[in-house]
Amino acid sequence: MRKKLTPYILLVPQIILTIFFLIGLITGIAQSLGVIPAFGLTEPTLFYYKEILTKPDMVRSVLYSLRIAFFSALFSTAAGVLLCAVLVMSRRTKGRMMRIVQLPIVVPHVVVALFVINICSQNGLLARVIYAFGLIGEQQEFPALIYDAGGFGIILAYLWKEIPFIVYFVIALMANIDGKLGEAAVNLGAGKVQAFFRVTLPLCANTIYSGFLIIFVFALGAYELPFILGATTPKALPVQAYIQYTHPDLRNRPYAMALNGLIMAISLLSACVYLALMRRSQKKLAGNK
Amino acid sequence: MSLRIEQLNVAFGKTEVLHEISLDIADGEFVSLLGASGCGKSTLLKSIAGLLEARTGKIQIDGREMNGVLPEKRGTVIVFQDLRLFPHMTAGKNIAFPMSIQGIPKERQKETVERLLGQVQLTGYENRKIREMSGGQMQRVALARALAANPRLLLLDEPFSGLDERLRAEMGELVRKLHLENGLTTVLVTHDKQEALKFSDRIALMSGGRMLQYDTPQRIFKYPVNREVAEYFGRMNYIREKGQEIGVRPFDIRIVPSGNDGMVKDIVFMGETAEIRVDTPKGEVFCMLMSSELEAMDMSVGDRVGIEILRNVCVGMAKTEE
Repeated sequence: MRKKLTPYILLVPQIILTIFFLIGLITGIAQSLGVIPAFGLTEPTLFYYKEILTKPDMVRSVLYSLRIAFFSALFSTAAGVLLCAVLVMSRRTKGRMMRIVQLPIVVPHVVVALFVINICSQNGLLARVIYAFGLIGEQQEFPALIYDAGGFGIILAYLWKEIPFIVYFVIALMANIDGKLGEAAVNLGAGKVQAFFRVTLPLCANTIYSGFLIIFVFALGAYELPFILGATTPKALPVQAYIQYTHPDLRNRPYAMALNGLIMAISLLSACVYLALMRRSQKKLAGNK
Repeated sequence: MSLRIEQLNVAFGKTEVLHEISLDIADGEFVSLLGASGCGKSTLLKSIAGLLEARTGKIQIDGREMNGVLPEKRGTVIVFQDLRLFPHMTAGKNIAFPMSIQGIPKERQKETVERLLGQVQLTGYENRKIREMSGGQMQRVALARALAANPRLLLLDEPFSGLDERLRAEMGELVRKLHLENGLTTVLVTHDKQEALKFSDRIALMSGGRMLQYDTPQRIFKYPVNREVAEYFGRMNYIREKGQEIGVRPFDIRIVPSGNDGMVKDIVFMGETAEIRVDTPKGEVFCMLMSSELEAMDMSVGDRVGIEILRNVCVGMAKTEE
């Protein structure tokens, strides 16, 4: 009897956490639909979703966040895969080299934001070096890489941390495929680069797309980098949500929850695509003995 | 094409795995590298293909030194033990892969794929996905893909190890047929002595990264250079005769029911054959005979029998005997 109960007892902490998570989620969804009885809001409505998808400043926030998330994920993935390719083809996928490459993963995003400010701001290290070389006459001539409306500084900070993440996420599979199937391709007459692009890369594609999605969803929902490095306007979705949440008028809270709801919907969609990609990848690789 | 290996040494880090390997393979020969797991057969094969660097020694293909020549420029193709078919391609695309690398026109690729699929008895399987194929079919596709690369030297790294006995024999025959039809020079890595004896023109027996003996199947079986080689091809009896120790294989001993050389200690029925152990004053003698012979003798444990040595194996005399 005790043996039978053990698995369920072991699951209790997880179940408790899940219950808390679900309560938060359901409350959030209910509030995004305008149901907060304590504030006298009792009728469910899609009004707040309509607002965030039509109000110009909200729409700008949505597009701004999507753009930052997309380009952060795209550039991180592209650079990460390129770095992976170099490491795999030079057979440096283990040991000291990998530890150095993956070091930025453990650095918190807030610290990365401070690095970016110190290096890329108009009075940062880069601006001073360029000034010292006489390439600019004064600090204002240095391009505004941070606090810019294009989100360049935020993307830069994400790149610093997410390129190593992609390496970490992809390299084991890539090294394995390249070591076996890549070797087979070379053995059949392909050059190393040909073998990589014709065999290794296509077989890693689904894992790479998954890595892209993870970064995309993370960048879409993360608060600290857009808060520290973002422009005054437009504001990123999580920042906007926080502002709405802490708004003195408590009846603004459904806006915050609708913004969160939007992030959640995009994340859920991405999770479904991620799952489908992983299944496809497993199926694809299962074809090989 | 011919292959010559001289004093080859290969190491993984500080560990040397091949020691002083020398081997000559003539054009059109079928050679088996035979030995137990971990003896260095696959390492030797990969070194020939250029997938592993030699520490010292020479590899020559058709008289041209291969040290430093890239794998894709050597004209050698390995069929790997785990086959390594590309799972994202169909059978046809796998076979066409080496041709597309060589830039052969699509039309010719298609013709060659059809011809090779026919040769490996898989006609009509062009569009079949790899995961939809059986183990035997995948072996055939791997063979066809290797042939599509038009190799000067075909290297087979235990490609049949995952197959059942019947399929294994079938694939062996197919390989031998393809070897002859395509005029290939073939090196087969195997640990199966029957496979090596059956298909090879010559056998190179390896142990611990060294070459123990390189000879024709008949000679390596009859004239092993030492006990290790002799015993690799089957159990041996070592009997003292006139002050000399001679090696005798179990099938080369005839049991004479009317004799009185020893007592039957054990009889093990094994289907077509039977194993019999006889205790003699010279030691225990292990014999094998056909089960039908055993039945005709009507022999049982405890009976006194005679033993007659039909022929002995000249262990350690390979160089002097011809």
